[in-house]
Amino acid sequence: MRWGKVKAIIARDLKLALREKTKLFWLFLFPLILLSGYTALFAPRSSPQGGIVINIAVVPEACGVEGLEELLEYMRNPWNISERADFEINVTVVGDLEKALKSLKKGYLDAVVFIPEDFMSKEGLTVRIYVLRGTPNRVKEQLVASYLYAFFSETANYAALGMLSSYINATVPHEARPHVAEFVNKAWKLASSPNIEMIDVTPGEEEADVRSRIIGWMTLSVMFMNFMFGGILGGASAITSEIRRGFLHRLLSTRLEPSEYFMGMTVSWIILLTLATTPVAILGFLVYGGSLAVEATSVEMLFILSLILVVEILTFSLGVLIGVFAKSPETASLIANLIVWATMIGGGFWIPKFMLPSFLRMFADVNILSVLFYAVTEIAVYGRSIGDYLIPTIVAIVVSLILFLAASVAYLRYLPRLLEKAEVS
Amino acid sequence: MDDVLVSEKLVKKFGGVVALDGVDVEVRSGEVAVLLGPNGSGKSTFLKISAGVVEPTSGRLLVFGREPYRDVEVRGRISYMPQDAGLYSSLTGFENYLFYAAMQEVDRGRALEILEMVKDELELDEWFFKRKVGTYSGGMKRKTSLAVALGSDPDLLILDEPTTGLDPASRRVFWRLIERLKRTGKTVVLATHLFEDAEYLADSIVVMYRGRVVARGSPEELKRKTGYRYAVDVELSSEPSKALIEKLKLPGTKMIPSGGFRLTIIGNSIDFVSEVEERLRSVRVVSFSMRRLSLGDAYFLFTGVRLE
Repeated sequence: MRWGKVKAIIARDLKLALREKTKLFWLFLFPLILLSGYTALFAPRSSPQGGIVINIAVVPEACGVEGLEELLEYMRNPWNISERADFEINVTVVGDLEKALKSLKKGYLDAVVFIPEDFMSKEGLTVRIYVLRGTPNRVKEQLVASYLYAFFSETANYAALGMLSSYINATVPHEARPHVAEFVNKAWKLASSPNIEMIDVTPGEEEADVRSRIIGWMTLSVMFMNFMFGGILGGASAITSEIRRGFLHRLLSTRLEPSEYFMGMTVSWIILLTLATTPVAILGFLVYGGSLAVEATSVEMLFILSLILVVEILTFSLGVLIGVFAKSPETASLIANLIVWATMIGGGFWIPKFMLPSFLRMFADVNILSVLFYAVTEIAVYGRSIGDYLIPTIVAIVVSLILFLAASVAYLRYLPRLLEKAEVS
Repeated sequence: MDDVLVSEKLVKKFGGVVALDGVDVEVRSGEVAVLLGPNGSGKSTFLKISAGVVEPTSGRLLVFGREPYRDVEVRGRISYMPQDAGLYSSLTGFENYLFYAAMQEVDRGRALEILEMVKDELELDEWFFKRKVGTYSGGMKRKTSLAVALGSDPDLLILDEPTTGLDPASRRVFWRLIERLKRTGKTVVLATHLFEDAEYLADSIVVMYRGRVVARGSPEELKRKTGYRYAVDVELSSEPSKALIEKLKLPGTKMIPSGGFRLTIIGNSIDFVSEVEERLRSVRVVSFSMRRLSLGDAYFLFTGVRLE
């Protein structure tokens, strides 16, 4: 093994990767764009839901409904709800019920409230509420219905208290009035100012921590996707295209041994994949603030870096195996794409494993790349111990090394056949 | 002189296709040997086996007494310039040169010394050092490819169709360089289908057709072996009739179809020329010329096909 040749191969591959615009984009630039997009979409700085806006149309049966203006005013800001930045109620008065219902059906409104002329009759408060149902946002539908029901129930209570107060004022003797007034005030206070304290509680931790962990997870996810695209797809197409384009014929007419060439390619791919994913790690962990639960000099960090090296070797080995056994560069690309996309979608790289349907979770559980990915993320981002992932990780490492051995044997053994295949084609 | 390259009953099959069918070739040290034949005649396959890239199915080929497809050390004395240049288009010619020199275990200093020697001869200007191969013309690529092949200062240079597609000026650059290499004692094996290259450069020619060697010798020997010495080229104003063709079949001569309204008649003695002229009196002749037998004529006589 002459290291001068290995060094020349590494220098060649780095130059080729850095000079070919397509390679440069997909290997270096695209992962950064992907991570930025992910962060903007799934880990925004403000609340992910945004504010809730409820649009209500009030349709009075007649123009002179008593107390309508006060009712509308109170409807727009019940219980001082506007103080909450994430809640807004728009109330408009519409003269025609049919028109209002049409708007409701079209989804422009969330509810229509029909107020009959005698809505405060002796029989009690009468109101008809139409709520839009069957929308994708079931939570909002329930919220609108609950809000309107609660609002009019409370309005009825106020009305009852008002009636009671008027009755007492009219019937109770003058000397007894202070006592009765005190009672009425207490009742009014009880009805109008319930001492309810609303406190928002997030599950277990601060929003900033959740966000940084999401970013940490996504950073590693993009890094692993880059390993897959670079190693599996890039490796497979590199093997097949250099045979088709005649480079290998010329290379193997020199003093270069196939084993030296394989070693050179392996080392250069490891360097290339490391170079391509380092900016992703910097962007995710340092710029976007992704959570990293391990110290830079800890055993855990060493373990994580070792696993990343194993992933690089594993993806490159898969690429070589595909390149060696595929009949053409096109077939190699198809197989590599199938493996990469299936792993990304079903292996828990796009969507966390716990959110996957059970049959896909089983796929993720046995997929070596997923096993390694979840070991790295759980230790690096969530601070789990190495011991929790030791056994599946060891299995994945052993399988990776077997695949690397298989790739090197296949490459060296089938190389003459590959060259001849190129001759025939 | 020792044989640098010897092949014995060399057979190469690609699946069901027989590319070489029992080829015996000897190339002596310091000579320029030319493999002459059309596409698919097995020339490139023979060169690939000689360069150690492909293994034969049976038989053997020795370069400096060793099998290059099994012995990596002997490959250090060989340099192979493939038909498709095998150059990385995103690297400059100079970077390609240094990369392949490193693959041949030639250190940078020595590689630069060698480059200095061939740089002017191959007219490697600024483009070679500054521009990427992807931007080169066909001629520039061939020159770069030859420079790469010379980077290890090989004892045996194997060139596959080195001048195909080049303009006359670039071809002459190649010829001069190959002549110079020959003078310095290097051995060159090249494949071509261009008679001009073969006639100018070859010490020995191996005529190949359908995976077999059909003739061998120096250009003059090959012509002599045909038994003919002179040729008459006739161009008629219309397609020659069967009767005319029969009329022109003189004893001791042979007719070679040249395409269109042209005929070539070859003979051993110069006397047949006046006889041909006599028999053409009744038809309209556009041109009539006599010359010595060419390598192309000889190739036709050995293979029954015309190359050019």
